Formats: sequence, structure tokens, C-alpha cells
Amino acid sequence: MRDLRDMLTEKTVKLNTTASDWKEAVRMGGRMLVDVKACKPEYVDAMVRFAEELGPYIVIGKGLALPHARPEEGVLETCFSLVTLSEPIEFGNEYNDPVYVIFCMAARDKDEHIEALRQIANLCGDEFYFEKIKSATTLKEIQDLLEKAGDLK
Amino acid sequence: MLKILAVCGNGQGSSIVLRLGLEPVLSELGLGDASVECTAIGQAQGMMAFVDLIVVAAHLANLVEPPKNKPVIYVNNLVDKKEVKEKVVAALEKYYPELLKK
Repeated sequence: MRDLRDMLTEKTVKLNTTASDWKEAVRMGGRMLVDVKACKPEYVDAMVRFAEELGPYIVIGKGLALPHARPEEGVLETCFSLVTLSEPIEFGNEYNDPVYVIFCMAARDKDEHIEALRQIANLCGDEFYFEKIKSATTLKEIQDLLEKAGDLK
Repeated sequence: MLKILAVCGNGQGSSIVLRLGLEPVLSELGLGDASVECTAIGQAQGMMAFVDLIVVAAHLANLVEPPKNKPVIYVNNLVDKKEVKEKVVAALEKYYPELLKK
């Protein structure tokens, strides 16, 4: 199992940015995963297609999206990327919109990504910490928050 | 032993988040031995008859057809432990009250 702190780097994190719509936001996160060779470009298309086919269920929490597709659609290595938006975007999920925080997920198998999902769920399920993620402007802040999130239950 | 099925789009993301949220709630309720299996919506249909409780991301509600009389929980905010807990407790009280007696 891989620790989210090792996967979120300068290359996989883009904070306080803007996107014109949800697809652009997902592609932004996806492109970073392609750049670090965690997935093939077609995996990014699959993430968008998946959300189109099944509806905006990738918005798993208030303001939080977790775009992903199947391992066989082009995952090379388990990795996550993080995009945060200064202007939130509607994904079409009436309960959890608008979205500020997007963790794109590339999971190679059924286990390697679970610890990272736990870290995301713990951190983003806590209103106080979620607000901190939304407003963070540096990777260091995100890393510090993840450090603290280890103690959350 | 209570058998729970968590359903999401491909069995890798949201359903695992659901499972991670369910586990502490179940332990708290003294049901730490309950099993939570994650599955993709495509496979869920055939499995639902064989579990005691089905948990689905609310947005996929219209894509699943649970067997009649089978308890189903629809969760809006998958990382909200309070919502998960309230809905699990309500379903258990209604369908399996004997499990909550200690």
C-alpha cells in the first residue's frame, strides 16, 4: 500500500487553479498522472467517459471529486494527483456540488491505493481540514495536512 | 455474521471509500465481524440477493435494482461518517434489531 504523501509531489499537485468545466478539471489532474507515467493518455479519456456514462457519482463528498477508471484502461502505476480550484465547478451532482477539490486516481490493482483513499476520506470528511485543503496554496501545506490526518479517525 | 455489499461504478473507488467509512461504524456497534464486499455496478445485480445489507452511492440509485424487502442505504456524502452511521443504524434498527441488542 502506498502513502498519499509519497504520491503528491510538485508534479502531481496543482493548487488554487481554474478550469472552464468539469471535464477540463478532470483532464488537468489526468494529464499530471500521464506526465509522471502513472497512466497512458487513454486512461484520462476513460476517466471522463466513465463520469459521463455513470453520471457525476465521482463527486463522492461535498465539494470533493474522485475521478478514476479501471486499471485495465491504461494504469501503469498506482498514483494520485490533486487539483484544487479557486472557482468551484458544477459536476452535475445536486447534493455535493460545487467541486473545489479533485483527486484523480490511477489504481493498478485492488489494494495498493487503499491507504491513500483512507487518507483522502479522513482528511476530506473533516470539515476543518477540508477547508484547509481548499485554501492551501503550497504543496508543503498539503503535506502537513496529510501528516496530521494520520491521527484522524 | 452480517454481510454488506458496497456498490460503486467499478468497485475500486467509491465503494472502497464506503467500506472505509463503514468499518469503524460497524466496530462501534459491536459488529466488527461483519464483512463488507466492494463491487462494480455491473456485478452487483447478481450478488445483492446473497447479502444482508446493500450500500450504494446515492447517485447510482437509479442504476441498481435491489431485491424487494432487502435493506438498501443510499449515501450522498461518502466521506461523511455521520451520514453513514445514521443510515446504517437506521437500517439495522429496522431490519436486524436483534443485532443491536447487547
